[in-house]
Amino acid sequence: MIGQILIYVAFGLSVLSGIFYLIAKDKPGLLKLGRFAYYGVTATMLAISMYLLSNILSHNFQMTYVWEYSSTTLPLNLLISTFYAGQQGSFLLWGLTLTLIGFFLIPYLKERNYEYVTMGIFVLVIAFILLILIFKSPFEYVWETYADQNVEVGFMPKEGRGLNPILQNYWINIHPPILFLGYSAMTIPYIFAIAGLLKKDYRKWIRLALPWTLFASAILGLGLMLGGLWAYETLGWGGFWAWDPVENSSLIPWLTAVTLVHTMYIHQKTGGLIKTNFVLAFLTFLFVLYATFLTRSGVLGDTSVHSFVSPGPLIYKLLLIFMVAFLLLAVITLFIRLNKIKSPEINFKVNSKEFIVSLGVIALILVTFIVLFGTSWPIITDIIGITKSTVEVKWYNQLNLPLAVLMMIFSSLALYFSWGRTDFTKIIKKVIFGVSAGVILSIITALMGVNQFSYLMLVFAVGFSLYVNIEFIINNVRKDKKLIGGFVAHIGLALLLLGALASGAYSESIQVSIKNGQYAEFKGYRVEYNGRERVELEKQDREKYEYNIDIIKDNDTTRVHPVAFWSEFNDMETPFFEPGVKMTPFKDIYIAMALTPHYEVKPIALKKQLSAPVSLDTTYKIKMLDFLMLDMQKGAMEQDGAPKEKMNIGVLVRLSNDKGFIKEDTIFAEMNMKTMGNEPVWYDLDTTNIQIGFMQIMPDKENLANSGALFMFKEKGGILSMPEEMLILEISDKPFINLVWIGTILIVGGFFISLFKYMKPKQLRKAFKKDIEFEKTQELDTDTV
Amino acid sequence: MNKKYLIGGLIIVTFIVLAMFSFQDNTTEFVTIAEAKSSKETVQVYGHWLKDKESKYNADNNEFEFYMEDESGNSFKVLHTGSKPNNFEIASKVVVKGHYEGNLFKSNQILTKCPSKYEGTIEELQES
Repeated sequence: MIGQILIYVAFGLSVLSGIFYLIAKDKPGLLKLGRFAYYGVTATMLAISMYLLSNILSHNFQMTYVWEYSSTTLPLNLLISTFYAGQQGSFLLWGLTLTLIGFFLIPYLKERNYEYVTMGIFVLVIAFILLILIFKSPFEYVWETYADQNVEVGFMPKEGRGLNPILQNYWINIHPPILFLGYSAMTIPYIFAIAGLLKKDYRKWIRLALPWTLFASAILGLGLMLGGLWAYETLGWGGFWAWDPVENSSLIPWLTAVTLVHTMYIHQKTGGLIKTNFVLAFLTFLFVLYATFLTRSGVLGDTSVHSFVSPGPLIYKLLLIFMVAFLLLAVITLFIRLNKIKSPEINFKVNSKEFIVSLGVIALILVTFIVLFGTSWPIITDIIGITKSTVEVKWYNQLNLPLAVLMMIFSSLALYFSWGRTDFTKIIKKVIFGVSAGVILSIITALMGVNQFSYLMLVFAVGFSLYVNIEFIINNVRKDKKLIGGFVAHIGLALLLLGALASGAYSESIQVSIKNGQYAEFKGYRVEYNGRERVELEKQDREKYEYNIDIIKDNDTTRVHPVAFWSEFNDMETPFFEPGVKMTPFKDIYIAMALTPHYEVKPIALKKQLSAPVSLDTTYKIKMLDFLMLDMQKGAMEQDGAPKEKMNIGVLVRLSNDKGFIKEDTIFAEMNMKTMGNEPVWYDLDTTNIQIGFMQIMPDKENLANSGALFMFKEKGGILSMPEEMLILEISDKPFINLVWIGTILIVGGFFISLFKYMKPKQLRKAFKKDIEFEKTQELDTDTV
Repeated sequence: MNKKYLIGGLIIVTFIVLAMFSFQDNTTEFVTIAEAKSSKETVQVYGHWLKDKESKYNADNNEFEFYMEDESGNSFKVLHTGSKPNNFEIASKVVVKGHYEGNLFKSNQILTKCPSKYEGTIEELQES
């Protein structure tokens, strides 16, 4: 009840704040009211979050959300993470991060006199998220959720359903909050662009939004990278990126934001590309909404390895409205103002830096488009009414590879060009070293056995890009360290692409099945399975084992521990796995595991009227006819009233062979009524040396009459061989995978370095000197509308 | 001026043409098993695992064999290269990717869906 009221209060305050902010033109009083209401939203949002957290920590399972995602057995860090393990909570986290960003945005805007309208649009986004929370509240009680099922009001489940074991990892404390912070920060370019249009300011917004766009790119980039690391290191996907719709949908806004950073940069230097900046700023946020729609509405249900909850038509519609509303707002405001936007006469010359950077931007836009199109394809097929299909991973790789080559070449080449106009002859002299570096690196790679032309082109571009950017870092680091952000990020890109190529296209793998004590050979490594150890014994809800896998080469032994664990979460039915990775500077040995029981003599499970050959002598057949439960029918008591200790259960079978032997008989097992364990009464098969044991009933929960019987076989006098666990290992090597991590760290780091460059207002004004001069000349010519 | 648009336009047009041409070979259709039988191409079939029927993993040649029923209710045998996927038992829906050959569907990729575990059901609530 309290939670629900708080959500309504926050929604009301956000609408109020939005209205005040939007009508506060030249009215500082209203602006203050808007700000005041915003602080109210912030306080309420914090209260809502604290309230949910306190219900999670106190295990209030009366709340459906708390019951669905947490349990009393979770440690504190995982308990906290159940805050956003489900849909409702993740919307709340999104709302919370947005609100907090706004809290830091207000002083920035106040200082620059840009709060009016800008904050109004921002608060509208928060209001929309609160609206979703009104319809899909994390504070719903179980008797409200199951209103038509007669759940008693006040009913308190004893235990929660718990958190999916796949997610039970420290990564869930790191990755989602950073991702949501990134998503939230992506709102900022949009609100600046709308405010710019409504205020008839078409230029200043760009420089005000630039530091925030850098911040958003850095944080979302970090989030994406951590997601890749999580998938590789713990989830056992075998790679860091799978072009899965969920991954793609957060990559799209990031690519757009990165493109926007580059067009803002061109604008800063030339004063041009104003309309492009508007469109890209809009798309950045609209793609965040699109990503939310794709991953939260259930539209991509069949096409991803991620599991989606089907949230019902209401959320689907709300998210659709959310997206369409902000799309229309952008389109309409842009359309109204389009004729008023005055660009200075800018003509990019072919030999100018701005032109080369623009070419890189085109490549980046094409990459974005490819990912967008591929990810949306299943939806497009639905809309145009053709057979539903999905895009293969290799399509993304094939098309993005040449674009990556172009991106690296343009971004490096651009450094030698001057703004405005460049003398080509001077460039050729300078470029020759970079080109040689690229050629040398591709020759080395070719000698190492890479023979595909497109790969060699990529390696060439990497070599070129590395040389040029390192050269520029060396030349600039003494002048001003803050200038090197772009160079660092571009080096990161080159390393990332090289690592992606090596670890993706040149990974080899084998699949082997080994028993304890056995080993497999892989590329000069000896991979041994030396037992397993049970871990986390203190936890009642799981059986978790670390397997000892020794990776031996020459005299060097590394032990890795892939994990298998059975959890009550899925009634111990199938285990969850984590890979074991041996990390070395130049390549990882990656071991993903699965398990299968191994029988010396195959057991047979049969339902009524089904038959199978007898395992030790296949000339004989066994057919299961029916169960015989005479003891059961007599009741569970002895005649003197004491409970029976043992009962016989029987199964009627027909045994036959192709030489005319045929016999119907009953095979028994003794069921111990205390332990409920079965002991087979071994049955001799005809004149053979084979004995048949009826091991247990294989119940069919849905239809008991359809249950089956499990038979095992042994030789007379011999012992029954028990199933042995067999390890299925997929062993692969990942050459240069470390370049991927180093590369992404450099890209993110590069954004942060550039961010510091624009932190101080003075520096920002200095950077946009041209822009400010232009604005002054335009002041006499103000709009009359 | 003209040269500028020529270069930019050339890059864009080249890639859109490239993307369109390579697109057909790089998409995999969702079909029923009846359609899969009449097609030689790689397709995906959506359905569920028939737990009643025999399923086995052969460690020697790394093949997993099981029966499936597609959405139109037709059952068929699947021979999957690779081990039994994680979560296979609890998956409510299975998607296999591959092609039909002989009298079975040869799969090289299986996607499993376990939506029921992510939100509670009334049965689970009553049990607790």
